[in-house]
Amino acid sequence: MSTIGPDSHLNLASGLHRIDGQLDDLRRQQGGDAHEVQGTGPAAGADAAPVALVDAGEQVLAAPAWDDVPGPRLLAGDLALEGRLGALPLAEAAENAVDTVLDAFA
Amino acid sequence: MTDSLPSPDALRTAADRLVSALAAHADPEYRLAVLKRLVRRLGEERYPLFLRIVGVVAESDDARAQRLLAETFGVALRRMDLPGGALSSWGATGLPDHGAPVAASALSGHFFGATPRRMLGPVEYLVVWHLQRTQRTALSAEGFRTSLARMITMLNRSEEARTLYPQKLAADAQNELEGAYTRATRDRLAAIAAAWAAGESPGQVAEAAIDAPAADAHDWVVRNL
Repeated sequence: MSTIGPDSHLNLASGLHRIDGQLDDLRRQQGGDAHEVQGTGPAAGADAAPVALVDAGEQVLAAPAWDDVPGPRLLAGDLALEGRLGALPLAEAAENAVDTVLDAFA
Repeated sequence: MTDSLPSPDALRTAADRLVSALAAHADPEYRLAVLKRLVRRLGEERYPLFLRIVGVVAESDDARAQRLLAETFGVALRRMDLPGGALSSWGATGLPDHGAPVAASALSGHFFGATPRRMLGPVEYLVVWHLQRTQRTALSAEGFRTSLARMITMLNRSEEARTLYPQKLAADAQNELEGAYTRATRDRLAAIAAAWAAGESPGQVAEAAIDAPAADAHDWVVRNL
């Protein structure tokens, strides 16, 4: 005869009920029912819509440069810069030239 | 310099100063040094700004400015020393030379984890940026088409650049060994080279690159080697 009987502490139905209750508490803490969060209403869809990724470099490539210029697109020519660099030795002129170009974005 | 989008005025000023700087000395070495130093000072991440400054000249109606810039690229092509930008490359290994002493600094960064990067001329940079997986988000077809057409417009102002650049691209398209380009990229480089050498318009050359029969741009991992 077996001495092992049913465990009076183990009640599957009540155990699952306790787990369900804890999940319900968790859902409430997180702001609603999990199924509601998964709903596909327009607002939720809009919020979750993937944003098209554009590289910052591509934005630079597309940056307008001439749109606000009516008429011929001519570079003015910086004669003062040309003269100043022309008076410098080549290596020094090259370094100064780059400084001056980059200063345009300062 | 700030990282925000450059204003139209800043872009035109930079382009104007670059052209004036090139005009300051007739020495081709000096002119090439100006372009290369500008690229170096901008750094890898901001190479597109260099392309944009060149593009501002290309978009202008200033034939003299375009010629000056294009001739400098012609010199760079003749010396195989283009002012290039770096994109990560799928095939490079980055391993140190076998048997050579290894500096501790060589074992950081690109050796562990990060993909090695290759220097690419402006046209090749645009093609790889558009077609291959790199450290940048892929360049859109429209961005690629517009930027490539601009670049070719400018380069066509120099007979040397117009002749040598398609030859270089055709040679690159034949090179399967180095691992800088996928098969799809090589197909597009060949298409650009053929259309450009045939004297087609910049827009048609860019369109040829888009239309070239090639496998899906980012599908190279298994099938396009």
